[in-house]
Amino acid sequence: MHFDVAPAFFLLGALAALVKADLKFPPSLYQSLTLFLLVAIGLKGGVALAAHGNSDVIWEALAVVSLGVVLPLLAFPLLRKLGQLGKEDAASIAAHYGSVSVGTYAVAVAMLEAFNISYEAYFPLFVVLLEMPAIVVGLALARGTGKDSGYNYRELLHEIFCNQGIVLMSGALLIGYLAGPGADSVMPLFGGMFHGLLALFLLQLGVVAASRLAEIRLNAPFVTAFAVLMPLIGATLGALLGEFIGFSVGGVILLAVLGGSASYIAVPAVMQSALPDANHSLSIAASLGVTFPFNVLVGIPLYIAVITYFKPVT
Amino acid sequence: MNSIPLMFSTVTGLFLTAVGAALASSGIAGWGLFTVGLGILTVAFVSRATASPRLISLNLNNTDGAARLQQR
Repeated sequence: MHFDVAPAFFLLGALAALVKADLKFPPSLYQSLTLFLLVAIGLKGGVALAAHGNSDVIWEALAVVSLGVVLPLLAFPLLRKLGQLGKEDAASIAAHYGSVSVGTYAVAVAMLEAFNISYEAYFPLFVVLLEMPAIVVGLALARGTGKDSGYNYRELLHEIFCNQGIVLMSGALLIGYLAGPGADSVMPLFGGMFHGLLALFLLQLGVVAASRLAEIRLNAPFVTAFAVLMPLIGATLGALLGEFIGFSVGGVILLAVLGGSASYIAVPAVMQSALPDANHSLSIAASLGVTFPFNVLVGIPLYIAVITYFKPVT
Repeated sequence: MNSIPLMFSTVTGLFLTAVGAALASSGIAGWGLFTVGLGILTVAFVSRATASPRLISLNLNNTDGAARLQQR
C-alpha cells in the first residue's frame, strides 16, 4: 500500500487542532516555511527552464494564462446565481479559485515524485503566471474597469506584482534560469530539504485550515459544495488543456492540480486592499478550510488516478 | 438559508456521490470522492432540517422567533 507522508502531516495538524491539542508553533514559522517553498519551487523551475526551455514555452504559457482568465468567469455566475452572494463577495471568491495555491502545487510535485511520474520541470513558470490573471478578472467582475470603479490602480498594480508570492517565485525562477547548473551550491537546502520542510508546512497548515472551518458555518452547505465542485471543474479544464498542449502525463496532472487549486496567499492580500467591503473570511475559509484539504487528501490522488487511467505512464 | 444554495449543495452532493461510487467501483480511483459527496449531502440535509423549524415559527407569526432571526 502506498502511504503519502505529506497529506498525513496535514491530517495530523488538522486533528490536533480539532481536539484542541497543545500544539504550539513559533509565530514566524508559517511565514518562514512559505518563503522557503516559494524560493525552492521558483529556483528548481528556473534551473529546469535553463536546461529544457525552448520557444514552445511561450505558447504553452499563453495557453495556461487563458485558464486563469476562464476559471473566475465560470465561478462568478455560480456564486451569484446559485450561491446568491453579493457582487463583490462573488468576485473575490472567483478570483481565489482562478488563481493557484503554491502549497497544493508543492504537494502534487511531492506525490508525482513518490509515484515516479516525470513532469515538465519548468512548471513553476506557469505557477507564477497563473497567480495574476484571475486577480484582474475578479476586480473587473466586482466593479468594472472604468473610471467609476473607484480602484486605486497604482496601489493595485503594486499589490498584484509586488506581493511576496510573485516577487519570490519569479525572482528565484530568474536566478535559477541565469545560474543554471551554478545553482547546485544552494540545492542541498532548497532541493534536499524540500520534502521535510513541506511536511512541517503542511502540519501547520492543517492547524490553520481546521481553525478556518468554523467561519463558513452560516453558508456551510453552499460553500462546502462550491469549494469541492469548483476544483473538480478547474482540474478537468486544466487536464484537457494540458492534453491539448501536449504535456507529459505529469504535466497534465500538474495543470489539473493548478486548475483545481485556490489561492490563499497572493489573492487574499490583493482583495483585502481592493475590495475592503467583501467578506474575506468567507473566501479564505473556502479556499483554505475546504478546497486545500480536499485537494491534498482526495483531489490530487483522484487527478493522478483518473489521468493515469486515460493516459498511462510510459 | 435560502432554498437555491441548499438545492445546489444537495444536487452537488448527489452528483459527487454518484461519480465517486462509479469511479471507485470500477477500480479507477479510491472512495475519497464518494465520501466527500456523502459529507456534502449530510451538511445539506442537516442545514435543511435545522432551517425548517425557523420557517415554521415565522409562519405562526411568532414575533420572538422573527426578532431573533432578524438579529442573526
